[in-house]
Amino acid sequence: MAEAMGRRLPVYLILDCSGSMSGEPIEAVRQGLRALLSDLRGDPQALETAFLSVITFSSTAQQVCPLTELLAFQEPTLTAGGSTALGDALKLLEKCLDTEVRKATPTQKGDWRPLVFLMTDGQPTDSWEQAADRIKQKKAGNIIACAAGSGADGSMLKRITEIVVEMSNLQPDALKAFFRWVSSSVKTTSQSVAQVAADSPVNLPPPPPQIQIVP
Amino acid sequence: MEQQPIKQDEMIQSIRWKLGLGSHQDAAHSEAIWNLLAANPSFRTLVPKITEGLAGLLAQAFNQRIGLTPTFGKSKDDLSFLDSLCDGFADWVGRDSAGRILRLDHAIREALRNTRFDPPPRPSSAPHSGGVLHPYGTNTDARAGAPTSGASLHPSFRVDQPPAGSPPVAVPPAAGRIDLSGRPAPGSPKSPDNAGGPATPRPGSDHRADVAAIEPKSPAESTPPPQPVTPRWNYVPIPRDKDPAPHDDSYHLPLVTPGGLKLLGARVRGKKHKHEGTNCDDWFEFLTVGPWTLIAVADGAGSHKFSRVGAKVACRAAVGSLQDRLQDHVLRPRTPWSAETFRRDEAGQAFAEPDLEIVQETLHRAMHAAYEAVAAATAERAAQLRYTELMGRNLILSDLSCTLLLAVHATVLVKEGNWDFVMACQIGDGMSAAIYRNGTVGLLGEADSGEFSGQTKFLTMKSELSRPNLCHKTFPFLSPMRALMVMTDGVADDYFPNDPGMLRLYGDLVLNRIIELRGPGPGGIAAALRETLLPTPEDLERAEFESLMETPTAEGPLRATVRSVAAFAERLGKTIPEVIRSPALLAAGACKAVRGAETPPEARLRDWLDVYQVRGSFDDRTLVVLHREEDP
Repeated sequence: MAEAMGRRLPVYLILDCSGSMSGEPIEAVRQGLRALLSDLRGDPQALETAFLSVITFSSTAQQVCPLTELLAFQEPTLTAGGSTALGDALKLLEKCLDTEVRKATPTQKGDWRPLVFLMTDGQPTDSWEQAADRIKQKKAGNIIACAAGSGADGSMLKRITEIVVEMSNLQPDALKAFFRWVSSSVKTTSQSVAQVAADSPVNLPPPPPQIQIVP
Repeated sequence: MEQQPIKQDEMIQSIRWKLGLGSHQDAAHSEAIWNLLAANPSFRTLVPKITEGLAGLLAQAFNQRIGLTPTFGKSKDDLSFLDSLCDGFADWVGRDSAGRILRLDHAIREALRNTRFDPPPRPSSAPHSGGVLHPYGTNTDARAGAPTSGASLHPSFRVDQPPAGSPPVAVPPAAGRIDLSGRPAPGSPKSPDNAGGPATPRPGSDHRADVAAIEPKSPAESTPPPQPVTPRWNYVPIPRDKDPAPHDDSYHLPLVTPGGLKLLGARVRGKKHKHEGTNCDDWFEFLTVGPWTLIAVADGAGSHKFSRVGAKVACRAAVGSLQDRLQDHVLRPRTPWSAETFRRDEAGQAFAEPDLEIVQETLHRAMHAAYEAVAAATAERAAQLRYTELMGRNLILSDLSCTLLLAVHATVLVKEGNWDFVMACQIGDGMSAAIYRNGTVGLLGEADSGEFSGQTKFLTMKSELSRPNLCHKTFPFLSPMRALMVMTDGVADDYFPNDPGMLRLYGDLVLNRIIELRGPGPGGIAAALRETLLPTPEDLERAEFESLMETPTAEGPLRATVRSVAAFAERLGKTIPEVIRSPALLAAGACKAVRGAETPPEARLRDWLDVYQVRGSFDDRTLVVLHREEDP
């Protein structure tokens, strides 16, 4: 039967690859991403609906993986070094949401509301406030921002989104737990996509102990 | 006055009186006794035992005919009693064999489901060959609506076509030969009748007897092609004992409507519900009354726990309401019908023509009746502890949220012939669509829109029932039509955008022999093929426009070859609309040889809904089809 263009669940991972992430943290991120992929590929609903993209940012931001279906997804090469251009990352995210995410039209099925996971471990080094305000106001996706480690400021991230979590440190097991939580969130969302209204809050599974919700 | 208890003999006579069995010396007395009994709740619980006991006599008669020793009794009188009972039953079948045989077959299929019986291989002399084109609808004689004269054999490409007037083509050996008069040949097997079959789909039933028949028997089966390891979709059955409202899938016996169209429907649990062990949330009902065909389809909201109850209750109430009001309504004959006939008032609401406005009002009343029924069902269950326990709170109306699609049809005689009048109204998603005789599509609803795939409206939202909104959602037409399809979004979404996607749906239904057409003869088909990239029967035979698909079921994976009109059109070098416009090309695609035994269209509809794969499509699927078997 001809494959119809189904509705996709776009998932964006925005990962801080600044200098402070070098060594163990970036290795843990690599492994976490690998585990996320393998986990999602094992779930039949996620496999059919979730599409994944990775944006990294250090001195500049780059979309190292365009929005791709899980089976075709290739792991990116992640290296750490440079500053923390969060503003750049947000502008790039905005562009991707505009160009890659399909809107509903009379002849095209719209994608499900995108899920965005942003993780940063330090203070932004560029001007990011305007980009943050625009993203928040556009409501173009369900954004979950994670302030990782002591150098990051969760309350600042509230400018981007209401859903902010804090990771107490950048230890491997904390990062592992973060990616597991991302995976479980994607699975839960892909199981309930048909039911969730366009503007109702996303229903996330409870975060692991290493991650606290910032009220 | 002292009240004597009713004597047992009086009781028995009154029961026989009520059933109309035997003669009654004092009918008035029996009636009085019956009224007393019927008012007694303990008696009411006894009634099924009594009727079962009576039906048991018929079962004994069948057992004897089949060759099992009845436990009834061995005397000559006993045997003759059973014998004549069986004959009397056969007489009854014979008086309306097409429809009655259908229900008997259905009952047998019911009995065979969930058995692990593998039919033995057919004898080598049976006319089954993979390389020759088979007639479309070999067993049309045994199907509802076909004249029983035997003259309705579909013309075929078969080299060994039987001479005109000869007995029908043999059905697969397992079923035996059935004489068209309905009277079985002496000694041939007969089937038990489960009280003629219910008129409405039974929610608990799982009509799976055809599974073994659909599995292709090709040797390629034993060595599955290498596949990347992908996670399997599971089949988890509904936990029936814990569930207060288990809803499995079902299909409905086809009806022949006034006007001679064929009506069939089926609904299945989507992949997601099967994977998670949850219920099918869709429901449908249909009925004919007078000149009208009434259709209701509903989809319970996924995130609302008892939405399936809402869907079922809404359909039943809606059809009941439509029936009440339309049974005495007839459209005024007029010449001519035109666009003017359908004009509405200044507010764009009421139809100017009273007989049309009555139909619209009837549809809207049915929507209201459905709403009230769902509200009542909520109240009834809200008072029950098991629901409160399951919800962790009191049940409320939105827990039964569902969509509802209604459509009514009647044939209208106009100057040009018999045309079709349809009026449809829907709340929420899903779609009703017509395929007109000229092969074009008419959508009878408006698609939902919004920036992201969003939430649909529900029957349980009172604002949806306002007069302006309902009028806005009511679509009529008068036109010669080939088919009317009413479906939940589980199907509509897979054929998006619906214009022209519904054309492709119609094509798929024809190619997969769910919609059976009697139309162009082999000459017409050959002529049409000559204008395509598949000019000869051999080209057609070699063309690939089907794929093997599978779905998990209680009995293991169900596999079937599913044909695609999109692929067929590509092989022909035509567009899909061109293929749909041409009954000859459609017949060519449907005629192509099939592997495995035949199953009737209603079972095929259900299996096709179950098995066809579209990426990202895991919702419950429900489709009701009203179609002509040949152009008027």
